[in-house]
Amino acid sequence: MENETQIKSHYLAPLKKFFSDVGRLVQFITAFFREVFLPPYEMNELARQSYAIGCRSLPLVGITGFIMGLVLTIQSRPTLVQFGAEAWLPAMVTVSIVREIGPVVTALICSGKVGSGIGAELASMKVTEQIDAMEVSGVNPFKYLVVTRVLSTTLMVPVLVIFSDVIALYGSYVGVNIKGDVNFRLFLSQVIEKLDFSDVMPAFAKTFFFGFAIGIIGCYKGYYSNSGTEGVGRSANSAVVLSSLLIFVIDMIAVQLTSLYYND
Amino acid sequence: MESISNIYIPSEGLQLPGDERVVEIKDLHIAFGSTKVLRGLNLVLHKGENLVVMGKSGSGKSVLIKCMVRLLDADKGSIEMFGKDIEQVDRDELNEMRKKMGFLFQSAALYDSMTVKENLEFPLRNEKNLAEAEINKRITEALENVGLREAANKMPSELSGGMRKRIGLARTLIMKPQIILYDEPTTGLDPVTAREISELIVKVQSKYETSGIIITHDLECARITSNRVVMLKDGKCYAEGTFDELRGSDNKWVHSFFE
Repeated sequence: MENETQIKSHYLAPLKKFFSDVGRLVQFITAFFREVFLPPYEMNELARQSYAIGCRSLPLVGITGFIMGLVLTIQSRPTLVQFGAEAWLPAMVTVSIVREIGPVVTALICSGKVGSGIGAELASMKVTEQIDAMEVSGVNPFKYLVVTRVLSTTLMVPVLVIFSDVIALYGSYVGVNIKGDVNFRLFLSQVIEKLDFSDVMPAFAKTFFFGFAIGIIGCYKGYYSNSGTEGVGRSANSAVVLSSLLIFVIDMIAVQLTSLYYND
Repeated sequence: MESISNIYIPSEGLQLPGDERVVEIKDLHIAFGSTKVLRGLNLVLHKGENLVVMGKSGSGKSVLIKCMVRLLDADKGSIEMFGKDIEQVDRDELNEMRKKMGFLFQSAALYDSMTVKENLEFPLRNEKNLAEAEINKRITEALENVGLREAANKMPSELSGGMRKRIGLARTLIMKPQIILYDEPTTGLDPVTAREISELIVKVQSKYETSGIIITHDLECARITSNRVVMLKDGKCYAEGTFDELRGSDNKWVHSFFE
């Protein structure tokens, strides 16, 4: 009997906690979709958050994008040279960046920078009773804090991905010219020639889901943070871990759906 | 005097500013898991009085005032304010009732990302009828009341503990509340600043004719601010009286707080 109780507490308790967390997250997402359409609309805060999330991430996303394009080009060249397909280098790198590497790497960077920031900020507001203070002053903290941040990440991550892709392609152009001599116009024409609608649109569409995942997980972890400074750190950390994981899951689903639709 | 069962009642009668009841709490119960915090608490707040609530840590003092603004939902019982049971009202009505109440948090809970002025403006954001000039007038008046007019453009991180509490109080005053709930207003402050905050609470009470519930462990604060003191024990009101009555009490438990 005692053994049975031990087994229950050992195996069932974490399972119960997992399902309870999933249930609460679903409720949180439902609350977001309910509040997002109801007035009042916090446009000023939305603009402020979009600026903070979008503009302030530009340098980091730009630098990593440039390095991503440069390194991918340098690493791919020897293999393509071996097969006598060096001329395919710009096209191969372009398709890789636009379809997969650009969106995923940019989303992961945003998850680390923006997701952890949102998680830590809301958790610290929770710990210092700022969210309670909003609530008692008659302002809906969910609408003011959560809806604006989730909308901002959903709208800004796609913009950051486009920016990162463009910079990465410039990095690729630099990489091509380290051991070769291709002028920019030729490089650009090769890039545009090899890009299809089926490369660009599905890749662009999934970035909205990446942004939503980063925002909602960051907010969820911060909003339900446990009390204490330890809880702030844990919220920031788990926001990054969970949103990064979700980015890969969304990517996997998006790739499957795209290949089904286009019969790749 | 309010007659509440199972409590120690001091011998002398109380001099209250008014008899009109602005808050009436009946048989309030709340538990967190298996821990019962409030177990049938009864309490009355009269118009214009400052009621100090004292008790051991974990006796449910802060839980009580959080139930009053519905930051926590009680398991059982009723809290009547402005003629309505706060446990029964819908979200819109609750927000309207909250506008008539101020809440000074223990940490002041100023919004870190906003200046002092923006902190004060924040509760007024849903007041569409207020003109810009009226908002500025209210902000200036609230800052003058707490003696910090020059702090309008400072960030909360630039303020001392006492200044943060004052700004927190100014933020509650901006909505011109009828009831103010103070959660340990002098905790973490030096004796001089703590006294200034206590005197400010009395000044606010007399100037705006507010009623207040003050949660505190600070005897000096209780002495300065209270018209009446209630002591909580085992989730219920155990004793009530004026500060001097309770201090002079021969009840061992009550007396131990004033030693």
